[in-house]
Formats: sequence, C-alpha cells, structure tokens
Amino acid sequence: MKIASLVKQTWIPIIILVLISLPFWAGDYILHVSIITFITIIYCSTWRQNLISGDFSFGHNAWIGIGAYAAALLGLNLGLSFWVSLPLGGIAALIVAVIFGYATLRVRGMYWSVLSWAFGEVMVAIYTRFMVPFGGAGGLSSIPRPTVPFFPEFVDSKIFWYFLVLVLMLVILLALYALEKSRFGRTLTLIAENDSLARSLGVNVLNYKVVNLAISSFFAAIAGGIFAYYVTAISPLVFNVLLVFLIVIYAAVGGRNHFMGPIIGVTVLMVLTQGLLETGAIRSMLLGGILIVCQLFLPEGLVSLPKTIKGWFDKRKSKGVADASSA
Amino acid sequence: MPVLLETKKLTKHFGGLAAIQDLDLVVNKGEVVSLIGPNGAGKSTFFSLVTGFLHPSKGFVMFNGENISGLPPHKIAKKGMVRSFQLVSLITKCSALENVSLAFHLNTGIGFWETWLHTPSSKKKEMDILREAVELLDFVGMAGMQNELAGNLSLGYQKMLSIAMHLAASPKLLLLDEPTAGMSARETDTTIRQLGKVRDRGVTMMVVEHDMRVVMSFSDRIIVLNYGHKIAEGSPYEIQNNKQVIEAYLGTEQ
Repeated sequence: MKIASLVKQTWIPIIILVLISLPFWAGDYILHVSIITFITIIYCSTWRQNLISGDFSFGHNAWIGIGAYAAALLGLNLGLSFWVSLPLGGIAALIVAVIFGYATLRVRGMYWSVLSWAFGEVMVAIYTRFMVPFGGAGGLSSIPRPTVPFFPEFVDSKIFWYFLVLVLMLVILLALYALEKSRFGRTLTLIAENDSLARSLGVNVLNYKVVNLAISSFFAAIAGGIFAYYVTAISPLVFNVLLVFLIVIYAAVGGRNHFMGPIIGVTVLMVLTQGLLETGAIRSMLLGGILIVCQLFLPEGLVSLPKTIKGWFDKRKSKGVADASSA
Repeated sequence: MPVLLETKKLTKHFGGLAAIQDLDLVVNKGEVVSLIGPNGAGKSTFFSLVTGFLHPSKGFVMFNGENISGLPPHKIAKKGMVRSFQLVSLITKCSALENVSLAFHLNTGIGFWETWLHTPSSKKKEMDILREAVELLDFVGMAGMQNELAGNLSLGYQKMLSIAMHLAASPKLLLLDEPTAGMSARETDTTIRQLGKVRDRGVTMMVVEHDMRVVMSFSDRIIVLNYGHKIAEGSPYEIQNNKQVIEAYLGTEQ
C-alpha cells in the first residue's frame, strides 16, 4: 500500500523531470523518436476527441494531411513564416472539416466511418494527381526552416524541435482535456450514448458533431503542419489510410475510453516498435500481436492495467481466505 | 381551456401503409390525455410525428398556436414539447445526478467558450444546475441516489430518472411513451403517484400506455387509435363502455 501511494505522489514530478532533462542527456536519435512520439500523441488524442461524439473516424489522415500540405505550401509558395503558416494550416483543415461535417455527419456509426475513410483517400488522390501545387507522388521537399527569434542557429538542433513540439503537445492536450470535462464535452457523451434522447432534450446534434470535428481537425492539422516543417519533406504516402490504422491501434491498445489512453498507447508502442525493431514487416506483426492480446485480455486498454492487476490480486486474496477457512 | 397541441389531417405513410391517417386531435393546457390502442395502432408514430423525429406526409401540427410541422426535434424541444422513449434512455455510465444535470441543456445559459475555458461564471452556473438537479431527483423520489450509476438502477428508478431528465428540459407538454412498461405492480403505483405530482407542477401530459389501470386512474381524457384512425375519444368512463373500442381490443361477438 505504501509503495502504491508513493508511486501515486511521485510519478508526475518524475515524468516532468524526465521530459525536461531528456534533451540534455539523450542523443539525437532518442530526441527524434520523442518528437515523433509527441506529434503522434496529438494525432491520436485528436482522433479520440472525434470519437467522443460517437464518430469513429477512418479519415483522420485527411486533417493531418491538409494541415501539413497547407502549412508547407504557404511557406514554400507565399514565403509566409512558419509561425503564421502553421495556424493557417489548422484553419484550412477546420474550414474543410466544417463543410465535410455538415455534408456527412447526418450519417451515423459505421456508415460515417466509411465516408470519412473515402474522404481521406480522396485527399491522398488529390495530392498525388496534381503536380501543381501538391508536387504529385513525389510530394513537397525543401520546406523552409522556421526562423527562430534571438537564436537563429538554433533551428537545426533537435533540442529546439523537442521543446517546441513538447509545449505544443501539452497545450493541445490541456485544451482537449478541458473540452472533454466541459459541458460541451459531456453533451457529446450524451449524443454518443443516445442521440435521440439528446435531440428530444433540445440538443442540436449535427452542430455539436460538426464543432467537435472542427476542433479535432484543427489540432490534428497543427500537428501535421509541424510534422511537415520538422521532416522538411512530405509525400502523399505519408498521409494515407495506414496512418489512421496506426492511430486506431495506438488508441485501442492504450484505451480509447480514457483521456490517458492515446498518450500511454502511443508512448508504449512507439518505444517498443521504434526502439527495438526497425524492419517494417516485423513491426507490423508486433503491432498486430499486441493489438490482439490487448483486445482479448485488456479490452479497456493499458490504462486499465492497474485496475485489472488489482482485481487479480483481490481475487487471489479472497480465494486464499476461502481456502484457509475451508481447511 | 387554451389549446396547447393540435393536429389537423395528420397523415404518415410508410410506403403504401398509412401508420396515421387524417388524425385531428387537440390537447388542452393542463390536461392529461392518454393515447391508447392495440399494437401497431400508430401511437408511437404519432409521438414521433409531433416531436419532429418523423415528418408528416400530409397535414400539420400546431403547438402553442404555431405551425411546427417539419421542424427538427431540438427546435420543437426548445418550444416546450419534449418526448420520452419506450426503451429506457439515459447515459448508463454516468451517475443519476450527471444525467439530470446534462438534461438541463436548454436552460444552462452557459456559452461554448465559457465552458471550454471553465470560467468562474460557468462554474457558478454549473453549481446552480447541480442544485436544481438535486431538487428534481428529490422530486421524483430519488433523493440519496444521486451518485448511483444510472446503469445500476432498477428499471423503475431508471424510468423515474428519465422523467426527471425530461422535466429538466422544462416542458410545457410532456409526451410519455409507456412510462410503466415492464414495471412491477408496486413500481407502477409509485410511478402513477409521481406522475400526479408532475401534473400538479402544471405540466400538460400526453401518455401512451397499455396498462389500463394507469390509463383509467390517471387521465382526464382518452383517445383511442386503431390502424392509424381515431376511433373514439372521451372520459375514462365513456371509453370503457364504447362499443368500437371493445371491438378493437377484443374483436366482435359472432
């Protein structure tokens, strides 16, 4: 019991300490994996925000891609600064999401999932088909580096990107958390659980779903934009539906009914699959295996692991007591 | 008595089948009207039609002197007509109190940014809503059950909870779809008592019900539907002795 309370009190400071000190003792490779992990956490958490209203999206790649392409093109073609084009990329995705949302969110459940999937693939087809401005199958490269005020030479160091993405992730996670706990977020739960009831209580279900999709797409697009500027080259392949499958697997393994689920799922799977194995096929097999095992034994995801373990212990304890009393 | 709800020539076709045919009916302010009829008579369809879940094929619906046919459900709810559902509908994974507090949707006065940013003003309003939600739970006889998960409640309490939720939307007219279906005799008695209290609050009610005990003890007026037509209308006593009604339920004597 003492250990449990000690863990409870100290895990937050320890995580903060690790996150802040990491750049000073870890190598570039670890920093790179961390940056990609943070970006993926944003992808995955925004996907889950979309899910709160009951809309299981297979087209989350569309928002990420729009953010990445819009931010990159604004920098490449109009010479806009990174700091301006990044939010503009988010707004571009938001506008598309509002239009797409009003057109499709009347459709419910699996049918909407299929529609969103189709939309994501249409976006990929558009990037691939049009050389101008999307660069066709080759995509865009030599995306300009951001200008960093006061420390211009800092931009090529991983430390700059690490802290930039970390702060951005924390801000977005805070915003999503506040949104989920707000009346708006709780009304989304009502819609997901029983949308007829919500409508009979006066909720404009379509508006709620569209606003939620718009928020989720805005933040996802920001993450996509920062990804484009970080890796400096993007192509349509990066934003195809496989990206969504990864997001769904991360969320399912971490636990998609819980705010921490995507964060834990992405972190654990990224470390396991990036750190240990580089080859594609083995990585996919490992991911698939972990997904199956999790769905069988931890349907609520890794977040529920402490509870499940405690349940086992309690069971064994009570069984032990029963054995003792019968003997 | 002023008219609250009125339908004129209301008709709904599903393909070739007329679920509701040329239905004219009136609900006055303060009344409790029961809608009865054999299975498939069109009672639930009628509820869906007047609350906007279905669109009429012909005819129109007047509520509070306004033509509301074709409006979406959330707008009709805002005007003060709220329906319940045959199946228990609530958020099973939330507590009873959370369920009622969410049902205050129309009456919160909390803006989108306000609630996202969790401003002090929104927190204050949330506290007020919680207080009102507690009062409503007390009102339906569920004091002390605030923190129970809605999914763990017995059917009787779940139905009471959903009535509390619908009251939170402050309806002028409450449409109840089989409020006592599946209940034990004791639960039914409690429900009748509670619904009496709801009526004393000044809420006009229209009830679809199969339990004749509930219908006869509770309604001012009864409307009988069969195959989408109104076949009789009157006080409980008149309906009990109406030949057509007896035929519809029991068939004709050979």
